[in-house]
Amino acid sequence: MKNKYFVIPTQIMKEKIPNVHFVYPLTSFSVGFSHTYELEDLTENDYGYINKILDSKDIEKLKAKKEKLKHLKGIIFEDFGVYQLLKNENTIEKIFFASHANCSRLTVASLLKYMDKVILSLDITVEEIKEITNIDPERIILYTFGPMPYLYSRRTLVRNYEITLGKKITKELEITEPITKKNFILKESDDGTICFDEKMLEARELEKIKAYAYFLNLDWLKEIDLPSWLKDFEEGKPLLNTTTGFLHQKTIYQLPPRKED
Amino acid sequence: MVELLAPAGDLEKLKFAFHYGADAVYIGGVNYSLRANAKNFTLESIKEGVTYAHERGKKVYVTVNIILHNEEEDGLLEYLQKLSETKVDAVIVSDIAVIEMIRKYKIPLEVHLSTQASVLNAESAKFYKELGVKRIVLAREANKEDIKKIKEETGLELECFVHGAMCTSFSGRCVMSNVLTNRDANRGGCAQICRWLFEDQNDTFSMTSKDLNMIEHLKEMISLGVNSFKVEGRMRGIYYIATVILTYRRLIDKILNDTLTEEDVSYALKILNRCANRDSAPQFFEKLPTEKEQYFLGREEVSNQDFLGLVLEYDEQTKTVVLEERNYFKRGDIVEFFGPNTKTFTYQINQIYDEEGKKIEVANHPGMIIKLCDIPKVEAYDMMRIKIVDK
Repeated sequence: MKNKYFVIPTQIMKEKIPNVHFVYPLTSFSVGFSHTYELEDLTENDYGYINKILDSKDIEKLKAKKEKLKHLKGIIFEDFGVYQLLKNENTIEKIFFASHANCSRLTVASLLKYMDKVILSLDITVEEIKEITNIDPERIILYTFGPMPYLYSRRTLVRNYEITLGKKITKELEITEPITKKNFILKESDDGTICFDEKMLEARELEKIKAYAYFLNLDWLKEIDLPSWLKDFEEGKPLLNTTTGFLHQKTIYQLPPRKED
Repeated sequence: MVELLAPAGDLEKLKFAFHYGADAVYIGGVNYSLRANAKNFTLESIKEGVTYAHERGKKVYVTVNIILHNEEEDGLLEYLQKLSETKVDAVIVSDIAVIEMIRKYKIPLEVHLSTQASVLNAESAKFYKELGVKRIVLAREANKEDIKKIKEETGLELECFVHGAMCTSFSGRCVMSNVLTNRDANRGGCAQICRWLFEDQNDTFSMTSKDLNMIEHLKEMISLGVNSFKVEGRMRGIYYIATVILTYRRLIDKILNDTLTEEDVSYALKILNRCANRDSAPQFFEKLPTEKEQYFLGREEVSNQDFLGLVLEYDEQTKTVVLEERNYFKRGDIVEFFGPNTKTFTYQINQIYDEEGKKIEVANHPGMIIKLCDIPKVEAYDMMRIKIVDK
């Protein structure tokens, strides 16, 4: 590959692909994934992914696995407890990825005092991404393809709903907001639920911004041949049913004053 | 001593919170705070609030808890420096950049970590402790094991929500508002999408949470080492603040005096349930909430009209009270008076007089001044409400 990629595949990858690092969501420590993996199945070339907000029991379980964790190439996480646990382990690369909190230059610069690398959040615009990446392109990773998580709940929202309505228990549900007709997908683990956009983010335009690497989350894809999919991706082959998310949608937070005000 | 921490959306609410027994309040500035569409406080009004609080031995914390975007960077340093000049007792922060800025420029501000940072484990708490954070507002998802472990392993001051609305999401981990209304939830624009209804083919899907209510676990929380009990609701009115804060004040004092009875708890639950517009539960404290802690098949949120009047003056000689009317009442109604120094009592309205002393049958204009006679002793800022329950 011409660019450097961090890739969440749909299965354990035995074969190496040049310029590609594989990232595996860890079982019991990740939420909202179709595929998760045991730490024991990963090698020293792999990155583990922990997107769960860890409670006291989780952190104890993680401590018990510290020796195995240390032998990974890197760990990507959203909970500072993971950093604290591994901060003196210099061999493992520590990459911080908060879906909605790494949104400014000052924030990312602060994080980079502690972390080896930072993945920028998903709710910022292309302009913001350019400005932030400029502060240290060699240590910033851009989320370029994959599911768009919008809400992370500790509750089992799908299960609770299905129990109430006497439905068959599943771990996934598609819902529609009736005014905007926007569809969302809820994916549930035992420890929580993530609400995603029904469409995946397609942000190949970010590859024009110089960054350390680009992050591709392929968890939702089915029966793909990864090397050829990556080749098509890099060559710009169109992808169906995608969104550009917030790349061109700047949000507001203070409502304009009413006319009578 | 455990602190009772109240929300205050403006100076009036700050004063009512203190009057009704809060030890401290948390307020938001015009910028950098998560209730962007509340009235909020200018630097001048923060200073006024802090002076008012300190004269009474109380504290004021200011939220600076947005997730920064590039456009908020300019002005942040100046704002923090000016905040420190107002002598606020602490700032409540979630973005690491704000904490780093306070450290780097040695701004004399005590830092409390916002619940937006979702701390549930001791390692994460240690990380923030090393950054200089003095207190952590734990995630609302913290259970008693989490609280115990974090306290034991860090010794940090812990602040826990005890009452009020719950996000469905971990606070700070939701951008549904951004998606559906373009209003940034993490910069104070949350449109509360988790209270909207969604469609699941032919059924209605809801993810709405019931509220939090920790009345029955306060004693245990104190024994776990919780330092501050926090009530949610910077957008709430003075009646809600007065009722909730007074209820918690009396329970906490009874716990500390070891005089709390089951009857007290039961009465408090009835008062609080009546005051809120949603049902409530202890949520995550003992177990993962189930379907019982959520709403599904529609719900009714009834606007509360229990608050009938605010006491402005009381004449002990004539036993006459001057009230500012808030909701409709009429001759013959049975009401209650309550206040921080007034034992709640029931009263039947036999006669109502308007401001000029003319007899009237009903009080039906919010804000109108009325007089009632033959009232046992009350104080200014006591409140009159519909008779709710017998103790």
